Amino acid sequence: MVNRDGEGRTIISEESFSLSLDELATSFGVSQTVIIEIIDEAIVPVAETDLSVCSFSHDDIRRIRMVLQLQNDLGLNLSGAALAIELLDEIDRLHKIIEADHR
Amino acid sequence: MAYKNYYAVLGLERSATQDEIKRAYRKLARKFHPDVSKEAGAEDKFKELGEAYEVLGTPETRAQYDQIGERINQQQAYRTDAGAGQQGFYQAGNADVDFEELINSIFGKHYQQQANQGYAPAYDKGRDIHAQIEVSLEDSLKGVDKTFQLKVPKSGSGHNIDYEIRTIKVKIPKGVQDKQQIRLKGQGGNLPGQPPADIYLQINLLPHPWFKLQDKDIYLELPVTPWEAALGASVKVPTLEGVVNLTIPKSSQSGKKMRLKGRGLPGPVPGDQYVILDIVIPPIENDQLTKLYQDMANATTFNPREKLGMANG
Repeated sequence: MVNRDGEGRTIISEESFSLSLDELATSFGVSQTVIIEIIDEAIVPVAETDLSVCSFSHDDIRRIRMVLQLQNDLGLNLSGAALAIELLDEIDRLHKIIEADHR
Repeated sequence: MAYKNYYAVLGLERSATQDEIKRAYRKLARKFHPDVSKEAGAEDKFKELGEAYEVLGTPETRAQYDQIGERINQQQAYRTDAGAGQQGFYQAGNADVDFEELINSIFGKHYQQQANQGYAPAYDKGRDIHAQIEVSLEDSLKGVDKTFQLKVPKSGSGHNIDYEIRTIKVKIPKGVQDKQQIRLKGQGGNLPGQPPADIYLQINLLPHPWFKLQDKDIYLELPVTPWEAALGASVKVPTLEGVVNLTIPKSSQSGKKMRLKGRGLPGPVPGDQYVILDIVIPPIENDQLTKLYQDMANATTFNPREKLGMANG
């Protein structure tokens, strides 16, 4: 079942892109309401009041994937996933401080 | 396919209750979740835990699994009693086949293919595939081609989608940073009546034994001898692109930060490499060295604790 057609051909990746609310929902296979609930939980910062004109960055996409993955894999609810992500951010920040102190 | 001890994976005895299995799985799943854990091999461990729980978490599949385990135990006892007879090996072979059949019946025939090296874990519940891939600092520097396998939808709709394992070779861009996303447009499979799906790859940069990354800058703690720090020296320093010579100025203190411009990760504004000096004294003493330290002590009234208000001695 391994598709050999694509083998040998190197796919060029895009580094610069952002997604709209609609594209995010389609991409993750959830309704826009789910994405809006994630935004309302303050997991992803938004600059615009009108979400339909917002564009979501790499890091927003990463955080939304993490929320959905944590909900899916560990059965967390939205507040639990938000708390986990905030604590993980805090651990990252502390790691950086420890490394900087060590220097 | 060799029999796996799923009880050991969950850290349990065979006598564990269903509740104990559930609790052990949940606790370990939180610990080794790839988005949570920083431990090496967490991804594999998480997959193995899921596999163990899928088998042991349901009494029916657990009973089937236990029967196979029981037969293997009996065969091992038989081999211990009667020596490693040919019949014993033959029966053990059968148990492995039964185990493989059980696993295939639970996970589907392509399960083992997914376990191949380079299989990228993915969130694939939407139209697109969101996967993660590990990249070394050296690979980020050079921007290498990376090959991995992904399960992508091939045909069908709703809950009846057929998948195929697709081997994908992607150009990892130069200077890619930790947790950065890259997009592979139209490479995530193509279901009838739908536009081709994309793959979003999250780059997870692997920790390096001595280079530490901060954004695009690289930090290296460089051990130097007391005489190199005191007298100044030209020393060889590793960078991601190879060894360079660094001139350490006279009277350098431990913790001194020196910059190698443009030796960090590449990009429109390339990062720098910072070298932090760490003065290390020789671990082995000898009489000559001891005398030199003694001479040094006699030759100076230097008090490093002056600021603390402490007098020498």
